Amino acid sequence: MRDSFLVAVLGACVAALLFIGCAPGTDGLRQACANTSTLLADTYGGTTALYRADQKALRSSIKTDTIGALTARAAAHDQAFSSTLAILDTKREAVEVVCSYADAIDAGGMKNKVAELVAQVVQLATDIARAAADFQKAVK
Amino acid sequence: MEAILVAAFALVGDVIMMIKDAKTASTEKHADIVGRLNAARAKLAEAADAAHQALVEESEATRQALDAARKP
Repeated sequence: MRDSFLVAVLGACVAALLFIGCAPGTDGLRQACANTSTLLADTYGGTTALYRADQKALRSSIKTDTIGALTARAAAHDQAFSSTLAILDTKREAVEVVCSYADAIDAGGMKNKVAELVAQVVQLATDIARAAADFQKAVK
Repeated sequence: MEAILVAAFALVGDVIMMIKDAKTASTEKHADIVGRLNAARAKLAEAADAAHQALVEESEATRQALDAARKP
């Protein structure tokens, strides 16, 4: 009787721990994805604002004798912004792929993949920050 | 013996309630995080579209300004 009771209580405790313990895995991944998506959105916003300001400054400094130089500069800045957007688009696709794993983990119990995926998201965040810094250098 | 059984059932009942509360809290936290992720994705899509639109608009505006300046 006493053994059965202990087994029942222990079983219930294990079930409770599983309920509590399973959720943080995918929640951690989703949280990391949300943070990275926000960082990526802010990076798009920041570089776009910088590009807009840069183009306005270029247009306001047009003088007949500097048209050739400004044309070349505008083309170079367009190229820099295009390259940055291409990098950010690639990172965005990667973020989406990683984020979609959360549902697969929930469905298939791939809890051991979580740490690996969170590390991938952190790496993506680092790459995004580097792309933004490179663009800032390119337009200065 | 009877008192032990009552106490045992009460304890099991408490544990079941704890499990239920933990599951509810976990589900609410999970839903909150999923909501935040979806909001972040929407913000990301909006920012990406705006960036591509800016490239088209600003580049075209600069090109037109330079063309206009070239005209005698």
